[in-house]
Amino acid sequence: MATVTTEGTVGLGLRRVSASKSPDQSIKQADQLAILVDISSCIGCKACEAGCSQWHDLKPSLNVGQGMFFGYQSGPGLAPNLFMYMRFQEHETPNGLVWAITKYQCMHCADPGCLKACPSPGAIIQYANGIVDFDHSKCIGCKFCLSGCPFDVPRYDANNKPWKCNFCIDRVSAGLEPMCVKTCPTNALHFGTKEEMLIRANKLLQGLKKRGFEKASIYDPPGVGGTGYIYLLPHGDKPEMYGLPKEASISPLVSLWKGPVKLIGSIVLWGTLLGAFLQLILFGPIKVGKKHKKEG
Amino acid sequence: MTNGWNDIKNADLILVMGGNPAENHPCGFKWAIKARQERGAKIICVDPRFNRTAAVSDIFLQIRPGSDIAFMGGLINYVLQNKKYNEEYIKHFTNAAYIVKDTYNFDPQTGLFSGYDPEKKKYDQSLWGYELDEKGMAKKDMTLEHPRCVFQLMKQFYSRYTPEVVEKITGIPKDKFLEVAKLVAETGAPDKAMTHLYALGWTHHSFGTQLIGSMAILQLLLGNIGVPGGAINALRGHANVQGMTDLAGEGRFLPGYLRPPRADQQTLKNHIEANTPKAVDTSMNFWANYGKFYVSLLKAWYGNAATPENEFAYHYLPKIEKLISMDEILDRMYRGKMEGFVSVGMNILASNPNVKKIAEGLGKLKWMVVVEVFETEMASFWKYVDDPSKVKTEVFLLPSTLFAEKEGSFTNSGRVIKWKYKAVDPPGEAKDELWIAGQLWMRLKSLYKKEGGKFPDPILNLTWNFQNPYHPTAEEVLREMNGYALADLTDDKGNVIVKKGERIPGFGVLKDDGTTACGMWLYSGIFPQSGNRAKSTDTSDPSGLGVYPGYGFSWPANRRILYNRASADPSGKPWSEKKKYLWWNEAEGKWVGYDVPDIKPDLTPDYGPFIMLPEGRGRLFCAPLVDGPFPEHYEPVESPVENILHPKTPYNPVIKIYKSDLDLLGNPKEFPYVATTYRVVEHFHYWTKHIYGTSVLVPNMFIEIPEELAKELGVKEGDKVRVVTARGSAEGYALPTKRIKPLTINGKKVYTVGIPIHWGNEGVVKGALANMITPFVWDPNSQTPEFKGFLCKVEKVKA
Amino acid sequence: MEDVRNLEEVEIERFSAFDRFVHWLTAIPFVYLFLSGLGMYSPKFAWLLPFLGGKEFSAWLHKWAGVVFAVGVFLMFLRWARDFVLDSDDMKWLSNVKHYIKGEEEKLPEAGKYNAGQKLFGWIVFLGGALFLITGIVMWFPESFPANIVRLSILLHEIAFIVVGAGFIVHVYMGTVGVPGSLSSMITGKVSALWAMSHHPKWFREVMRR
Repeated sequence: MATVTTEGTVGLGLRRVSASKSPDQSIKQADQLAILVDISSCIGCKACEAGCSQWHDLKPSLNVGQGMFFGYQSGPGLAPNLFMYMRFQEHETPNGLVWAITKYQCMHCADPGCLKACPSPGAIIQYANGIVDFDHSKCIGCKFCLSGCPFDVPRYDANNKPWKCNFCIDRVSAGLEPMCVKTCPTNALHFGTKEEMLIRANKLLQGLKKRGFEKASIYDPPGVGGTGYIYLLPHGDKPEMYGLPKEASISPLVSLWKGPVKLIGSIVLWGTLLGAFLQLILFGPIKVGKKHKKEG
Repeated sequence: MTNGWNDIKNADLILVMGGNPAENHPCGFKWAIKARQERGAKIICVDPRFNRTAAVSDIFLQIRPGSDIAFMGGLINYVLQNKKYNEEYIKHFTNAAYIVKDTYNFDPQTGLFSGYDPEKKKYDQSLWGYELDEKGMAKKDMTLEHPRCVFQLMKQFYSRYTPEVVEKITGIPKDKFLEVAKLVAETGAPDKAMTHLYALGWTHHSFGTQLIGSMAILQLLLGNIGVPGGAINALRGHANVQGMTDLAGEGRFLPGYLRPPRADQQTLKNHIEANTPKAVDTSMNFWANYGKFYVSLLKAWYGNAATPENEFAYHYLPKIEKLISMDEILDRMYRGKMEGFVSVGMNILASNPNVKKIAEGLGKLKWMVVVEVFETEMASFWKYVDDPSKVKTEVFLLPSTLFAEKEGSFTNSGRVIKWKYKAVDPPGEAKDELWIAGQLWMRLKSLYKKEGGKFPDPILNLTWNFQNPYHPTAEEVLREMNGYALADLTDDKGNVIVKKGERIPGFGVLKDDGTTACGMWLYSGIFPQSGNRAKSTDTSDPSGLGVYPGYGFSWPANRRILYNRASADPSGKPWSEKKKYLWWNEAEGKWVGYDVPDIKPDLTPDYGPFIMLPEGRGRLFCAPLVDGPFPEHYEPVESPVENILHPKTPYNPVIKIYKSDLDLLGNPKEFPYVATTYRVVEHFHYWTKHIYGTSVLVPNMFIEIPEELAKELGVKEGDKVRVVTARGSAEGYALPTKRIKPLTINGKKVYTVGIPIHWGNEGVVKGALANMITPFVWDPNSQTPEFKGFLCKVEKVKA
Repeated sequence: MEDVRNLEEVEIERFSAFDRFVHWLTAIPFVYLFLSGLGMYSPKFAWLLPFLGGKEFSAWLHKWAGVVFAVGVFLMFLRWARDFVLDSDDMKWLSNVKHYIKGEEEKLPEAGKYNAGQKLFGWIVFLGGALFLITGIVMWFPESFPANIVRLSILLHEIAFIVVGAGFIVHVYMGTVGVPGSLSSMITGKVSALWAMSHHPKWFREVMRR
């Protein structure tokens, strides 16, 4: 089994490593980090989108020309050169029109489907602080992470390497807030420990409920063990309105091929090999003319 | 802004109308969010489109572009009829009790005030004055019952604006209007405040000034001016447009809102007399100091050449026959009456109405200098001219610097002046504007020195005391603006307070005898002897009200809330403990509080809080406006419906209509839809399209169309459509939306079409200039074009 | 004894050049697919990948080897599908396969050119190959298919791998150690008459008749 070498031996603490044994978590510890996206205060200005691209030195595609018009959106969605984007959707509701504007990027699941699906040791890592990141040097380009992801996030470049939000791990490691949080002009983005963010979210939630958003809720899907990005949704009963899956969880198909099928596979294949070997030592090869030779 | 950005957090109600702060002032809008999260304030958005502000508002009302005065009239009427006004406030702090001359009249049938001259399209404003007593003081009726007192006139005037009329004109259903009216009226309580946020959505009308006047009336009635969380807050569109305005950005001003001499003011004495008002009530009448500011300005400009004997070189200043505003400049240019043009950091082609007319006009110049950071549409204007081969204009494009490439100050909407430092060197041969100005000036001066010329004195005698005259620094200029003593300045007792040669501590010490020089009285105090206060970054906020007295410098005199004396009742006690801000300390005999008092600190409470006016009181009735003392609903010049209040006077009767072959106006038969232009948050004017990183955010010019209209036209999202007006057309991708609904205006279905402005011929992304289609129509008070509300039709472009 | 000696010397053509070409066209990519697939499928075999050209290379070649494999399987199908139709004797053979394992071929119905086990493996390859191809294409271009189709494809690809892999192990064992003489038949194309007579008597008689 390959060993994870990201950031050396004394780097960030690791919680999970793809296709590898769980790292010893008694060595290092870190608080789980989170970003709270307060949809009720988000004006959809895309400062986070621009800031993200700038910090990560990305050059997002310029969507111009016929067939390349996406309304208020910068483009159709995530891309290897675009780690996050703002989604705009209009909905008529009984309480009037809702312009659902949502920041969309990797959610940094506590139980990351990408990491679970990844067959290459160390290509996907989850740090002790909850950040999920890719290590291209170990990636084999199989795209299984895409199947593992319940949020349709990883995007592949021409070399079949996946890209996504890395929670600005470089900034976070240096004690700075992620770039999107830094740029947000209306404080719709909050950054801190997951615990703090949940407390803050709950406080804001009470405010929203007081304002008449009775169905408001905090989006922190338990199906993936909670997420590093949590959302405060004014219309919490309908996360689809914001382009978020209602029941986000790792597909049972993925669990199937990473679990039972793998076990059955080993039994079958090792069993077959063993069977062949037993045949050989118990009965020997099936040779020609045995009968004749015996008679002779 | 009469209050500051941070103060928005103190509001109980935030009415956004005529602006889209979430879109255009996202950083400042955080204070509105804060008010809601921390104090439970409500945000109400009234706009022709469900925009990004609406997306986070508590209540959204869709209004027809150009019908805002009707809505405001409705609110004023509601407050008056339901007695929701702050009676003490309006009696003592406004001109409600003033008696108006009987020559004032308004005819609701014709929609005209008295004194209208249809030939000249002008009012005789002298008919609208107050009745004065023998001492020259305004007559008042403190019971507010005199039939000709402002209060009664106003009540009668706005009684026509019933909720039903509001619905018929604006398209806002009566019940929705009343829901909002109730919330707005509640802020008339002494412990509540509403703030109003507006921007170009209100100024871009042929009645823009009146529109803002209508809000002034409402806020005065509710007692919301001068108090924390109140105010009328004009959100300025550029980082430093407030600074530009303060420094004579318009032809009708000299720095600090002083006036340029007129032809009938040939002597300084004449000029100062004409501009020094006489108090008509217990008023501090601040403009009584006009002469001090004017003389100090002349001293700053002309130094030793300005002497008491030559009226401080007043004769150097040109005396203008007529106000030359932007509309006039552009029209003269089109008529071939201009020779050259210097444009610094401005794109007059893209940002003014009727691009065709402007382009043709620019083509008639001999030369044009464009000082810019990009090659703008203005610099390559010939691309918009019918026959570019006929253009003889020689264009000089001088590469200049962006804000991060030079140091200097920004004056924000809240009047806070903050220093910014240079971050990077400009690329290539680009030079900052001070270098360009220095080089240009020194060359001009040496030419005048060598060749003489008709009148070289103003040029040769101009003060130019910079270490490197070819490249003055921003701080040197700011020092000159702050002002300095030319002799020892003494107080009443003869003590020297400022030594000769030292910079003055504020405009309070300015004199009209030539012993002080001050380049810009309003900013005086920003650079006292102790140093540049724009550089101060103390973030302490002792009152917790967001005053931050040590952060930057807020003109005037580092005052954060203007008219803050009004935060206390007539006796000087705070209106409420919650809104405590400034109060009269009886024992000390002076005003104290959290901010610099906006009144002479020892002036007793009977003096009115509105110190800039000779009344000392806020004007509910504002005679100096050229189009009427009360804001009346007039339709935009191009309107889809008749003016139901007075069909004979559909639009602003004093507005100047230009009549050249390109000044075309459309009618609703041919152009049935209402169009409005606006910005999107991702772009800054015509700049950010030159930058890749911002271009990708919203790369394509688009046209927002109500879904119902899109269906009628057979247009889907992403189809190309063309918006056509009498002036021209603009193409973009169709964006059918639920966010603009068809409105029912007086029984007629009216569609609104939205056109964002940010594209042009130059840049990373290209598109139509929205101003190809806008009308060359201007507000008669402010000379601002009517971009919001004109007529268009929409065509599908066949692929 | 003479008979026997004669029969050992007589060579019978079992596989034409085309047959052999098709077999190896399928087999060689399959070996690569099997090993690289194993390396990718199970981290425990990730060490195989460096021997197959490295992680990225093997992941890349896996796809193209798959294409070649698919072509091979398709040709095989054209060539052998008819031969591999299972008849009632074959069913009997399969239900009594234990005799075969014990080396007691005589207790089984006589096999033709292909015994039932071979036929069965043939079908496993045909069906498995089709499944590998279809699911492989989906996995190759996951962005072009619905996520759940991709996930299902991965599952089916794995199941196919298990089944075909098991068959492959048996096939390799039989073809080398288990049934001596088989490997050379796929190399030279020829078997001894004795080999044919004892393993595929029905086919041997047919050949003799001709």
